[in-house]
Amino acid sequence: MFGVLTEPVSRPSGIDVLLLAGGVYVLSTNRNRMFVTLARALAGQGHRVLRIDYRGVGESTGVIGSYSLIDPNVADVQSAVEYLISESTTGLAVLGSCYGARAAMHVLAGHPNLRAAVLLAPPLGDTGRGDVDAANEVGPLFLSRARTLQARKIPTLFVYGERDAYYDHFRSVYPSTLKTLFEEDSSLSVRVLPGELHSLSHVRVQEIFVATALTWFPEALGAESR
Amino acid sequence: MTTVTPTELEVDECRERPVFLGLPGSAVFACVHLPRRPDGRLVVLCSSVGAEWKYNYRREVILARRLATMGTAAVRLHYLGTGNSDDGDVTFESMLADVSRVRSWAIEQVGPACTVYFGSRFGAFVAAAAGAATHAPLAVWSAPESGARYFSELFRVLRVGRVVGPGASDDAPDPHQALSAGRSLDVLGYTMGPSFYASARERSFEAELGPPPRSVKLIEVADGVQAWQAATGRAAELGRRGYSVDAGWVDEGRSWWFHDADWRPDEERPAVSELIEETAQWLFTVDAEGIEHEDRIHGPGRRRTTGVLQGREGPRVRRAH
Repeated sequence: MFGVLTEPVSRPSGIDVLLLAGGVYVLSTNRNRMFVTLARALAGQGHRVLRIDYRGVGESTGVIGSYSLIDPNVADVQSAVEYLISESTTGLAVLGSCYGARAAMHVLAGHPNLRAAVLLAPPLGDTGRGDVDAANEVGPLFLSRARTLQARKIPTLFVYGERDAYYDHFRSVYPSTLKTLFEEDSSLSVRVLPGELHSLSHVRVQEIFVATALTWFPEALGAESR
Repeated sequence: MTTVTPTELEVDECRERPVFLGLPGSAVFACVHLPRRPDGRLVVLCSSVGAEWKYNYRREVILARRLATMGTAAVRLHYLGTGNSDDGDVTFESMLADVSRVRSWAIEQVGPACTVYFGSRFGAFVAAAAGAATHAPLAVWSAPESGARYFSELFRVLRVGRVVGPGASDDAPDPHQALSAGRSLDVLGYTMGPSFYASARERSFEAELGPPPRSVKLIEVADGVQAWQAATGRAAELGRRGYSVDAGWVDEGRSWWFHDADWRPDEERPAVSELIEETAQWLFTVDAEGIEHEDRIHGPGRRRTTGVLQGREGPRVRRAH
């Protein structure tokens, strides 16, 4: 598996950040090298940042599978986490976009080192590309990982675009299923940005998202980040 | 030349060495594919930019790996201002300079070698120009005829996306006018700078080829009839002008910009396998002995760990479970 590690010149904060890109051949750079920009800026905040090409994508070997949300490249993400931890990480933060957000939830929600997560437009269903049988359903895997994050009081920012299809789904199930996850004292929060965010298909939304993450991480990591 | 944290990956008994080349702030990402028994030639792969870069990325990795298993070294790069490389203003000239820098480094890794070029889409212009002085053989995928044609095609796709996409409107400024006025443009989610546009719009593939003689493999990728017509028509035209042209076509009626709903990995697409194999066989067998080449670079380059902007950055390779 191939990845690029960006390290701060200054003393590391002790919290490493893992960036996980979306599906369908999205590289570790993400669209318009958004993750390169983000990694370097986070390094400027003192974090070591690792971004990876999933198996079968970009520089990595193998053949990518179907981008299943039930098994979102778990081995690759675990391998990346092990790599970071092997180099004396005390804390870990993760930022994932779409499929990468689900991979982050899947592998890291219960991980003892996790300190914060930014999840860009995660699909709520567990099958296909986030499908559910009925519009009022949420995938059990999504729900279990979200509840784990809440129970562990992990600061977690869900970010959707107001025109994202996944946000339509989010809104429709919010009153019945998700509201309790985002109560006032919850560590989970949601932010809705203008436009379509999910595919990162516009440079302006990429910039807004990067700015959002760079502002949110220091607030969420706060005292933990030396 | 400096490199940062060379690391190696073994793939099909060949070695891959990804690196950042250059000083902090101007480092170019490159990856050389080293065969077990080198055959004395090096293929320099020149990618396209923007959405085409992403679309073709895996194919070019597969092509480089295939060449290495055949015994031909290959090197790929991310132009400055793109991909993993440091920030920079992308222009046709800067792309050529990056190719030259990476090729020199690759020769250090491979040993004396004849250079053969490959280019996809806009990268075909870069590959053509990079080998023009040495009359180096060249294989290309769907090379645009001209910069003007390239931008027209790209902006037509952009306009269609604006008209039919989410929140569609067609009140965006004309792309040509915006770029000519010195403004950057969002092209399918990728930033296109005015310098790139200005440096590329007047170019043509034939002009970048330089004077004959030169061996050229033109491969068109489109739906069958269109690909066949494009490949044979252009091959005949270039042949009349003194180039040695071999035409090929691959029947795959997909766009160069989007991975769509019926996406499957390139490794599982018969048309892509055909494309890779036809390209690799030509690059492997084309007569490169007679060409002039200035690529006898001896002695190791100076190496030290370097930094990138606010941090140090280096490729990491790790086995997955």
